[in-house]
Amino acid sequence: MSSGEKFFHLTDYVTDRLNPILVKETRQALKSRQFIITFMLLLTVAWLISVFGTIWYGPAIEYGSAGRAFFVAYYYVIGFATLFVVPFGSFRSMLNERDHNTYELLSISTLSPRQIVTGKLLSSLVQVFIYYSAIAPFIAFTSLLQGFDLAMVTLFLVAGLVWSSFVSMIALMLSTLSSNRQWQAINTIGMIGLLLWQMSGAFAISAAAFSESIPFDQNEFWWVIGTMLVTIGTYFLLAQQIAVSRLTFESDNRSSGVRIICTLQFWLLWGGVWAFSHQYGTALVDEDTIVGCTMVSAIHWFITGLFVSTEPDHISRRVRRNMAKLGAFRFLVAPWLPGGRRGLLLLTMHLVALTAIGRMDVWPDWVHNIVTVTALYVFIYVAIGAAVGRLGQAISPEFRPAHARVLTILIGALAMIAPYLPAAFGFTRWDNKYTLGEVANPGRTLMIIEDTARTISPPGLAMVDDILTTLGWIAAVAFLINLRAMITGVTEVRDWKPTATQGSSVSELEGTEVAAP
Amino acid sequence: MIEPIPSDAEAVDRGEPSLELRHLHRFFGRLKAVDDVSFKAWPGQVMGFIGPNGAGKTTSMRILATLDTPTAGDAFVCGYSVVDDPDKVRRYLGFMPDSFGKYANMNVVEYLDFYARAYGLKDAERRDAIEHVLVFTELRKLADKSIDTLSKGMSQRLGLGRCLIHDPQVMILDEPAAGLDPRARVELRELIRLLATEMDKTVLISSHILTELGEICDSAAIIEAGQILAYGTVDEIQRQQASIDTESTGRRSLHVRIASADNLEGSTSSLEKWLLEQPMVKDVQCSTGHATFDFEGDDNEQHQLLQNLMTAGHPIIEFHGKTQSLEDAFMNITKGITQ
Repeated sequence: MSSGEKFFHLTDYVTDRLNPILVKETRQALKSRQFIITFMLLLTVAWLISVFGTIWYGPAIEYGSAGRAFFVAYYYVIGFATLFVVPFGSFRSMLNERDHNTYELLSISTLSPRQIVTGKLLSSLVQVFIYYSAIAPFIAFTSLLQGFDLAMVTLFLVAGLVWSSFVSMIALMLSTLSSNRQWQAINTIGMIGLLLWQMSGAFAISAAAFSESIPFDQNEFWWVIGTMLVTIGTYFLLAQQIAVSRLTFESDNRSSGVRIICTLQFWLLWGGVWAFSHQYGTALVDEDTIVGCTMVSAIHWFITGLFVSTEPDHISRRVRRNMAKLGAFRFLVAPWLPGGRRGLLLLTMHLVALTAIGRMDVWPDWVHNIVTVTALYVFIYVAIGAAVGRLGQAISPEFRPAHARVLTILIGALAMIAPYLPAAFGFTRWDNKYTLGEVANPGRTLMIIEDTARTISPPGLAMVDDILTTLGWIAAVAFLINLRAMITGVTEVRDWKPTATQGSSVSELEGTEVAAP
Repeated sequence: MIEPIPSDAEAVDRGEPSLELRHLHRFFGRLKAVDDVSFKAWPGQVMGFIGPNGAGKTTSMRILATLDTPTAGDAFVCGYSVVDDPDKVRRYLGFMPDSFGKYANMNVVEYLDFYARAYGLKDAERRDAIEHVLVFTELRKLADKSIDTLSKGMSQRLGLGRCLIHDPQVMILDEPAAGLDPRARVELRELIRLLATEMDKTVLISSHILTELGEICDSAAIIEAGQILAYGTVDEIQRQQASIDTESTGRRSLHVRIASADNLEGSTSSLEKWLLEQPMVKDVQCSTGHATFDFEGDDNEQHQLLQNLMTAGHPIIEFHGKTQSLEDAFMNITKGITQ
């Protein structure tokens, strides 16, 4: 066997073990006009920077910090390729599958949705590495100059790689959300805008960071880096899971993965707060930090809750078949199983946990109030959405989860502006004094609670009590409306008797009733 | 509504069907795209799925291909449910949609290679599968050609090759002959026939070209407005339609051929004259050596007519009821309802 043949067999052997999408996309990308143009442009611009930079510096290149200046210029060049061209390629990659009618062929192959998403992401990473390898000789050139800082260069290159992967994943996820061809042109323009925005933001942060010395020796710096990595990592996982869920077959479990990651994110946030306060004492974790984290958690659970609590409640045979055999275990994991009823339970559990954390004795009363009121608001609005969703589905099978979500947002928006309508139409006079009629507006209500805490006015405190009582009653009603559904959601999975485990072949389903359409 | 024809095929024990639709329903809002569709197909069978545009063919095929889920009911491929076990179904199924999905910057071999990998074929197995498909579809010579530059006929061959790459038991072909020139159609027809006869595959094929389907299909299901109107072997459907025609009009259409003789024109003219004189014979149409006419009698009277023809000295070599083509049957069965 010649060495050429040996090499061919070796590459064949290796590529057989790789993700098929990665192999295909890399083959396609390396032949594509977009890649060739970007690659040549990158080399040309980097070469021009080197030549004109050297001429501009003249003999001064041997002194000062020319190395850092050259690196910054190269970093922006590679940034354009890795933060704009590559993520946009990821976005287009999935849309092209739909445009060229190849997605359906892909989806009926034995590749899993996760393999498809991972393959597309890996092919983006391969491109990033190729661009990095193209710029590497130029960065090596900067290492010969004064002002070159290996630690800083490594940090920025790794940060660029991490951010590029993250943005590519987000782009990929967004492309799976856009299945309607009529909206694709608008989505593409939106995506370009989003990518330019994040790239300019990343450049601005980089520019600020380049002018400072990086405090590698300070613990706080590593806390920030760690927090950023955990945040990016978990949102990366969430975006990946959403993309996978979007591509997953309808009768399969599309929900549990997203629920688990959202739960993980919540506990990582508060676990991080606890770890930080454990290391540095509660002095560094002040009330504003807790309120900030509460708001992040509230937004997180409002969005998650709105999606998971309006899902269809039906659990397919396929999902049932894969559930745990032990009833007690199914009971425990019920909130993470698909279905709106169980979704609302998941939300309720976490809002209770958030309230418990926020009402710990170490925080003052006003923080207790803020956290409680925030959790109540999230529960009330999502519970209304869940009830609307169930009611809508009971009235018409054409009522979809998306309708329930939009309706919830509209109800929320209406509830928030309704108290101001009489004044807006001139029926009453607007005096900027908070009344209980504005309790539907979370923004204004929370502001009033915080202002009351800072001014410590007795009339204000009475109003806070009224707010808490009112919201408590509304939440209790919302809870009672949804209580039966939540109980059914748990009991139906707990009481389900597993039967078919080896696949639902014709013989296993023989005699099964055909559901009424 | 015409009742679905009970199929002879189901009466004969042919083992487990490799394809089965069981009370399949698919509703889009109020539109009943597929409304209680049931049928079966066995290995080695080519089944035509016939219906006007919007009848529910593509929707049913997409459900079978695990691209869509039924509102109710189920479908099974090699015993596996498309709802519960789409992953397993995909191993046994090849689907060729009506539009050929092309990738940019890819040649024929790379295209097949990708799908071979996507179906989990590795090493020699993958290379053998690609080679086999290239030989079967006669695309060997075009192996390095970019798929963007393939003709429609070659693209359809490549599409068929893609379906075959993992050697599925069941193949679903949605309008594979659409847009092909006559030669490409004939060649594709031969390939499809080979799939069933040589490779023992079950082929479900939809097409608007009914004459062609009539030639390659063993059985057919006729669908309109989401409902199966007729289902059985092609012969069964044609015979059934002929008998329905007879029952509804009280007439049977008969065909006579006379032997070639020195004076064929004269013999034909004599036959036409004789037929026109018969009381129960209507609408006589003659061409050289042939006569077609409607007969209003029963079997005994038909027998008597044949005897009279012979006695009258006409050189009869064929006398039979006129069979309906699949196209005739389709036109009779469907009503042109669109949803």
